[in-house]
Amino acid sequence: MLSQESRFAPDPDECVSKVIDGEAIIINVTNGVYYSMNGVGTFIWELLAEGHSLGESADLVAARYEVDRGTAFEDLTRLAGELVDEKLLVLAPDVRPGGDGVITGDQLVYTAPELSIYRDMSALLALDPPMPRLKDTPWKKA
Amino acid sequence: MRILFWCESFWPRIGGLEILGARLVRSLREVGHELAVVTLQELDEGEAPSGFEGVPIHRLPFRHAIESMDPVRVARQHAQVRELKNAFRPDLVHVYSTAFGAMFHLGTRDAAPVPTLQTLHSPPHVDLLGPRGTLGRTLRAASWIAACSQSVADHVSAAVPEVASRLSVIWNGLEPSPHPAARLRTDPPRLLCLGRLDPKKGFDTALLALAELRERFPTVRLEIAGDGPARADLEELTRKLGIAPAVHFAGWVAPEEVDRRLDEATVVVVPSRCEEGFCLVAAEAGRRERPVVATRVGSLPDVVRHGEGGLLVEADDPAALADAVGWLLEAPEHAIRMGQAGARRVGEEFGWDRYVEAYDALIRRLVGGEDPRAAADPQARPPVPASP
Repeated sequence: MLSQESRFAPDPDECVSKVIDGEAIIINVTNGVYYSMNGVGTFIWELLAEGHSLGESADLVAARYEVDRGTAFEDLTRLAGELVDEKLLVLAPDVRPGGDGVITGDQLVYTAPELSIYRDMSALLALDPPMPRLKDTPWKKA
Repeated sequence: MRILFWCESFWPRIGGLEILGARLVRSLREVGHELAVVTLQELDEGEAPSGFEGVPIHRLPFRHAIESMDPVRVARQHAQVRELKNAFRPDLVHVYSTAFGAMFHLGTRDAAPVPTLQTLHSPPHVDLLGPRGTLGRTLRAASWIAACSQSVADHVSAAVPEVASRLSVIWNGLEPSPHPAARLRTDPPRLLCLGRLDPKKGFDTALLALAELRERFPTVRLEIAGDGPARADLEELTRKLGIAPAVHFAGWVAPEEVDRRLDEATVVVVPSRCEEGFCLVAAEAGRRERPVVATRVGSLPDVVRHGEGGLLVEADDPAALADAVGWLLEAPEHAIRMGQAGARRVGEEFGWDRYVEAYDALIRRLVGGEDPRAAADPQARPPVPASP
């Protein structure tokens, strides 16, 4: 059961991740499932991966985005549950964030965070093996 | 309209999809659209062409990014696609073929929030059509889906009922041949299998059938034109069956050579064991007045029609395949009649102008916010209603 005090850490055995240009790419290296998040989702991923609790994260989301804290907490709890189910985060009650997470600047438009899951990449790769070498194909004229 | 044409395998790679895709790009440009192609870059493609008749081709290493399991490389591909969409500013994204690279279109839709037209060339396996799978999400996110045949449309509307109202059929099209078909030659009898050498194409069944046919027709020959992962196994089977002198592995055949190869054939054999979405080869054979012996899978019964453009047999049944081919070889008048019937049907139902007009109308309606159903192919039956 997740609560305001729940804290998490990325599962070091299961997942690798990187945030670039506001997009979080997360890969479960055990089963080859890919995940991505943008905008609010990326912000939440960074907060939770840094060790902020759900309660602290909800405060920071409500400060960063035009959303009330209750909605932010509800969305955070749903997303954190998904990330735990997908074995990307594990509960880590003893972790503490490195910084205070001070939010400055204008508030941004809020859209509910969404975890995009690409569960079938291994199957798709297997279905579509590399084609023969291009230089061996005789279709020279367009 | 500015169309980002997403086709994960493209010229100069060879295959039905690649040939149709390249020709459609050319024709859409001729009717006034501006296009850019996104396709896959494989490892050996450092010097692959970056343009097709004035249309830029963006070759991106999606496969390597995914296989690397390196989030930085994946994110880099997302960034590259986003940059491309920002620069090209498409009015519409036409996903002409869907594979693993669709992830990079789905993940970057925010960079170009425009309609997506999805073409389906084959019936995706139902296991891949869930709402959390890449293909399932691609279909659900599409503004409109154009299936290349009725069997593909029926399959999708049964497996993903929620997209049935955004689905129509645009039967694949063939450009007219520049030269009339040659007279059917029957002596020596020549069989032709044409396509990617993949186990699902069932060319091994054709070899087994040939071994049976040689007892009745000692001079019969089989040409297998194409290349692919099954080639070594097919060559090995040829040796094991002792039919090597009667079989010629021709390798890839350039599209401009296909008519000549078909003209040399007495019967074109399509022994697929997979759910063919359309089968361009069967239609091309019809266009060259060649009778086809095909398997009763996927769209082949619609394209060939048993007793009209050729004969249909069950998949993986070499004896039935040999019987059907043998019947045509023994009765060339039937082979000629079926070849001519096939040509009529291709001309009437799988014409190229109709194909381009259907896509052009659909694209204009989607971009203009009009009801795309009015642009549906008039030859298509409505999809089978989804089960309650």
